[in-house]
Amino acid sequence: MKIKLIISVLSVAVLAGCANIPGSITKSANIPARPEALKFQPFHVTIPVDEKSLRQLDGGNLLYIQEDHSLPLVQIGVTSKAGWYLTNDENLAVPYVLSSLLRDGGTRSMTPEQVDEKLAFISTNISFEIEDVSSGGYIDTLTSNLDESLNIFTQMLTESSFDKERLEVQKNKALERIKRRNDDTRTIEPRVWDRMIRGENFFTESMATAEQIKNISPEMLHQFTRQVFASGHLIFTVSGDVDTDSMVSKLNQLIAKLPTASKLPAIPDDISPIAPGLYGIKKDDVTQSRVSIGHPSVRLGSEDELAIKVMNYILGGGGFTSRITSRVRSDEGLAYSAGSYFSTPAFYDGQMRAYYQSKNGSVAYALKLVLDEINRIRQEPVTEKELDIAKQGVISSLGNIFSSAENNVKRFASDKLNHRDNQYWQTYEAKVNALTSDDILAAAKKYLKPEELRILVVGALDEVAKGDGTHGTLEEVAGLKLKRLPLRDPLTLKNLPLD
Amino acid sequence: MFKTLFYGVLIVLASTLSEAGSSNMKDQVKEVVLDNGMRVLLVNKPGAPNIAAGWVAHVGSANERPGITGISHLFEHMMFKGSPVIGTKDNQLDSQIRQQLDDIRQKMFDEEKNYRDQFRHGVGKSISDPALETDAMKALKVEFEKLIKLQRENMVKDEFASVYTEAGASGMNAFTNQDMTVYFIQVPKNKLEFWFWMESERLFQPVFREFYSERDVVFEERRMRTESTPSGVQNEVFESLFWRGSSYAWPVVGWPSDIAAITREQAENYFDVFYAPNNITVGIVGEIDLSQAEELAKKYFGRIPAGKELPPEVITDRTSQSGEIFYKAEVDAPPSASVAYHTTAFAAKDDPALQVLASVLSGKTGRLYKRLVLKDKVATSTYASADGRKYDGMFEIVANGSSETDAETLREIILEEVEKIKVDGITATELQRVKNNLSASKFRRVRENFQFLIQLLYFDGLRNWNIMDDYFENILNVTEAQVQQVAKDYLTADNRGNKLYSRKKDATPEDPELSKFDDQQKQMIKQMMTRVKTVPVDKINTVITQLQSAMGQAPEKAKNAMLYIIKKLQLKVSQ
Repeated sequence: MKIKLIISVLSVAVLAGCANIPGSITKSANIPARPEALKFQPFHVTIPVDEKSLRQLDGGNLLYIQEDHSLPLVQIGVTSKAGWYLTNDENLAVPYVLSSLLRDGGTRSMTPEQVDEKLAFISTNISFEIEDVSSGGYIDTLTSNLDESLNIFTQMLTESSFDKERLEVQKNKALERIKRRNDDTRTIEPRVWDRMIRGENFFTESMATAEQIKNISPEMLHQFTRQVFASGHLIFTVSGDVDTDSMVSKLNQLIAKLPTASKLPAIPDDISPIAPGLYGIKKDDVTQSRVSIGHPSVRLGSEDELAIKVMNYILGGGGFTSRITSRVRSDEGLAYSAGSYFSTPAFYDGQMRAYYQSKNGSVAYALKLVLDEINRIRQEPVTEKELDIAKQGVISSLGNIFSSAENNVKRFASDKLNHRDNQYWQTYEAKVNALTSDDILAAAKKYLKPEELRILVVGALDEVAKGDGTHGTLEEVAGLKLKRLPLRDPLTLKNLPLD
Repeated sequence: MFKTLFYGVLIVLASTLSEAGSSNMKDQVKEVVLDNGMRVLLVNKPGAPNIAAGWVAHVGSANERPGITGISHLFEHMMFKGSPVIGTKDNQLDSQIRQQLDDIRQKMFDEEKNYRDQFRHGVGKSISDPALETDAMKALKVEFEKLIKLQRENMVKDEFASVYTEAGASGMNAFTNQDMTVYFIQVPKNKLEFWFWMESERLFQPVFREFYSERDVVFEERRMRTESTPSGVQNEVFESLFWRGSSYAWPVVGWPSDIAAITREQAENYFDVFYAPNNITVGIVGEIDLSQAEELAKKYFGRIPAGKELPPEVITDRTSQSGEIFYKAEVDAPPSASVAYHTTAFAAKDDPALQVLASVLSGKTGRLYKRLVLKDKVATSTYASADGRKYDGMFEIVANGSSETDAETLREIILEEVEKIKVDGITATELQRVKNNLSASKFRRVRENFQFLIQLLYFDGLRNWNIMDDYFENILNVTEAQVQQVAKDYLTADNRGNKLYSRKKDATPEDPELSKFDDQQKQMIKQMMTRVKTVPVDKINTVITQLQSAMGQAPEKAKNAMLYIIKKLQLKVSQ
């Protein structure tokens, strides 16, 4: 023991003498100089087959279920194919309050207070959400409280009372939220950007006025709930400490209480983007402005989806390993966050967007760097090294997507909703690995369109416009004339005057 | 009936929890202490394809001092820059360039001393005012840029990240707070040794390349998180007032003047002391072979020498406030009030009762939400938190108000609720609700490998991972009397700081109908509407009648305002 201690102290002393001498590389026994020299057992993420988890429920509804008895917990979700796109001018504001009121509004047999107290006491979390093209309800409960939790959840979906007091509370919260629409560049930028890309009349960009929120009635809430959570277009997910057969029976009991779904209308897909150009929203009291650069792009299911994914990983989606992040952040120190992504919704066109935030004076220079990178990846093939890294980066996402029973069934449900076949995942790794630098160049040429770029700057425009005095003004760098966009009155949505 | 149901549920819950006794942390975690003092925590949790792995350096902004504030956070950035073999084509050349860059930067610092002196004597807008720039500085900048170009040509950019990515790793990141710096990543379960190689490499022989451009990134981070947000700067000021005299008085990101002046030499000295293995705890959670992981830990981390000196103790403690602190500011947000009290360090004797008190006040069933949001309708959200840090603590109660209210009203109601607990205590049901949730969270917090890892490292960063079981057990043993007692002991006026925000006047989005009133009338309407908010709906008609009968004697200017209020009240009744 003592000898061991002396040896250890000695080795510590020797190593301490070597550390932090510039240029020293200490080779330790059996430790290779580079990590690539290490050998590993092959390992591939096993992609679960969705059909194995699928159960048909009554009324044409579906269930994806995976048992996992490692902890006494159960997670249940229900996804509806109905969402915000079903609203009209009259009930446009309903989604602003509905998800909270389903949870908080009480039921026929329980007051809102009783629901709150019961759920808090048994430590069950229940929540709802109304999204653009889908809606959902979720339960996270201890196994021992499963029946009780499911019973309350069922009541919320089928016997909500939408208590008047709670409705007022939620309306007030929604009104306060919309009053904040122009407070923060972090919320202004994505909102204005999406309107630019999809057009202000597209359903995802519809915003409610204060008047529309004030006019929400319990009847509107009941009507929308019946439309959304209706038997026939629901996909349930269950994971955790459950028995499959028993769960099927419990969910069929829930379904029996739901109204029958009527045929859903087609999801609109008529986006009308703003013309390409350089646009600005002025907010002078910030030291850093926010920038988006991009254009409309493909939907989910495009034949080039994986090539686009790998190309974007190299351009700006791969964090430190990507070109935009590397140039704008680590080379020049112009931004904390800089990158790019392609979003690919299933039912309408997606978008390509590069983004960064930079101090007002360096916005123009950073824009130059981003535009240069967009052009470069369209002109030169990526290196083999870049391609290898990007492929692995894209493939490694599988380990997070299929990491647990809960994540597996959630993925199956969202794929079903978006008409994505499970085969996509089964062949994902092989298809990514088969991509060549020519494929990436072709994808960049086809899906990055410099002539169609919209550029949005939100921040202190006067300062931004001047640039840094060395790399050109904003308009010089963009090669475009800056057009100011008005902010809108947060309550009435009428355009505010440009000062 | 409802109460009986509660206790029925409680019995079921209690029995479930006792059956699952194996969720104790001590049963799941294997701790290995290496010869160099590094502690390694291993958890074999089969299932997921990825392993979550990371480490905590027991250093945060509380270990800094004025002049180098922000260095811990800057370090977090620098630790991704590589080593002699990762990140460069030619390490010898890289070392030379770094040395030359440091030499030039030192000369620039010397120049900046003059700028600082001039600025302090009224010349220039700041020390970075171009008007102050000398010819010598201009020449240094040119030389500096040339070297940066050379350095870049010799670099393998961001190789640390790309080597990991190529190996299938994901989610590489880190965070710094006042007490710790935590680094983490997920790697495929066959790549455990790869992780050991990478992490031991950056601890064994880190190279702080791009030191000066990375400081610019930190400035951008500060602009993003603090300066360009609706209340970021104001929050920083309040924190600094509240913690004056203690090591929590400066922001984690650092004061701007310090960030600009930190040298690479200071950074390397800081590393030697605070990133020595005896000041680091490693954690790995996932499908691993415990003995193999232990061997790998010895092989890779064991090669790092122990620190020559122990990190210095944090000495400075705040002194008594001797009075109440008020900080009022205008922000781009609705009115809000935050009432904060000095308390006690994490896991200290009174921390469990303070945690229960915070839970009783928070959430949909908490007293704050019930009073401020549901009953008085003056707030949109509320919470309380017992923020026990390594060396001290803060109990904070926050109410985010609706536009018609004001911060003072929110504060008054918060203080009323505090007073009720001091006088009447909490109920048995409230206490049990908190305990039930805590018991359930015992399972929820170990559901995912990553979540599990962060908890281990976080507890260890604050004190020691092995207090986790006792920590939660102590909360389960808290009594109603203890909660009342900590409220009496800590929630007192001269131990209190108040952060009161009102919306910037020119930024208030208001009801278009209000535009016809002058400022005096608007003020009157605002005060009246705030008071009426607390009136139950069934009593509003009485208020309307009173207003209508008072209108006859009111001056003309007030009449219009009263008519507006009556209209709003009638609308409320009709809804």
